[in-house]
Amino acid sequence: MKKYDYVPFSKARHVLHVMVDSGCLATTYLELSHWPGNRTPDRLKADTSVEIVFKYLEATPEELPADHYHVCNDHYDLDGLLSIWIMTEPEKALAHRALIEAVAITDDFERFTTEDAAKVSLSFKEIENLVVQDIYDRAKSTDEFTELLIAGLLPHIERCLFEPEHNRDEWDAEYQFLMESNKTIASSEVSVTDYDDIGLCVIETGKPLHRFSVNAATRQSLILLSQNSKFIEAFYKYESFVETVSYQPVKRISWKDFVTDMNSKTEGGTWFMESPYTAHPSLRFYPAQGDGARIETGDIVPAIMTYLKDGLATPVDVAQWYETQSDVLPPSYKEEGGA
Amino acid sequence: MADNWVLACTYDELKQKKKLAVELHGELVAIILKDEKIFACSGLCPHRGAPMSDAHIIEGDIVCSWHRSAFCLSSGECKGGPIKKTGRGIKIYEVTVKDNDLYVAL
Repeated sequence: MKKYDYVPFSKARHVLHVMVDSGCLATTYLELSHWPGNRTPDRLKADTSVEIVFKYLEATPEELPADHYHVCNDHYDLDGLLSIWIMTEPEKALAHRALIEAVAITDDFERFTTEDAAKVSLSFKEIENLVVQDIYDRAKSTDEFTELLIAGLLPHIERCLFEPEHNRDEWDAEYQFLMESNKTIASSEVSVTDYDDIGLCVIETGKPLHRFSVNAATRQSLILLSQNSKFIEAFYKYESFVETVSYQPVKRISWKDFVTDMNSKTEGGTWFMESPYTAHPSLRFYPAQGDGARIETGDIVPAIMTYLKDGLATPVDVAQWYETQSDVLPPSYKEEGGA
Repeated sequence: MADNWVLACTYDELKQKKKLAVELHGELVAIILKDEKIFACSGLCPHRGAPMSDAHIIEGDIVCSWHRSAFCLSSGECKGGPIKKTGRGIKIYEVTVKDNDLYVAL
């Protein structure tokens, strides 16, 4: 099976390439991505870019002209990094497909799948921290940072995938927290209440929970997290931003009016939520005095449910994200207009 | 004005754009205008290199728009989000405006 060469984004304008987990350039002849508004062929669509890339390789594309074997990506996350690596080492990657697909889901959607995938995801995060420490002072732009990060991480992929225990000392505490969170959620200590009609899940817990466990506890788009009856946050899952095929999440709405209204009624802090066109917007109350004042969950849930029910009459279309919120994208992507 | 003050842009330009990223003597600096106040900090988030010029100013913190890493606006110390594990902070720069010219102290 022919191997592709990785080409950094800054050089991709001059090279025919497959773009993974990102938007197209003029020199992109094939897009393999789950990002909203993507141009991935329908027969290859899947939940993560990693799964899409595997489907492409599995379809055994006929021999391409020699100058077509390049792969590129415009931002860093593990789904994108693994997508690049799969193209550069297709046979090795296909031999470990189940693990790599589970890692992509675990890391990209921050959702627990398997213990092995969680270990790999956490191992990568520690290596990422080391690489970032090395490149932060050298990078003069987001694009340069991204390229240095990808180049710095590619040599570590096989070790993290197949020997995640090599840096276990660095991630073991978080792993134990994750395992404990999974147990806690499965017990009666945590209440998980789904509201299927509005895509909301309210999770009430007595102690902190790992995000991988929280996201695995429900299929709803929006999770409201409460700890000891205090409101922590309400956040949209990443799956409600990217294009998924395994389920259709309830659509997102704009929370701008809700935030404005709450800020007019609440003292001692600021309500804030990112645009619904961003990857994983979170509604939070930022107290003016550090972590002091907190909002009672019971006071906020009815208001959120009412606003959500009304708002779903006019949901937003996240597939238009690049037109409406281009300021959240890497600068280079803005230049290309996301098309 | 001391030597470390560097002309970054005009106040009018910042007022029009609200958020700017400028390279000053090799340092990338983000400048944000919020509620008539000007803030300047490192241009890139030390988590995954997001442009801090797109960050949100909320209750004394500057919060990265990509993954919500939060930093103290006064000290640059990390306060929350995914960056907290590494403890990495950002630089906060002093800013002044004279005759519509905006200067940053490097």
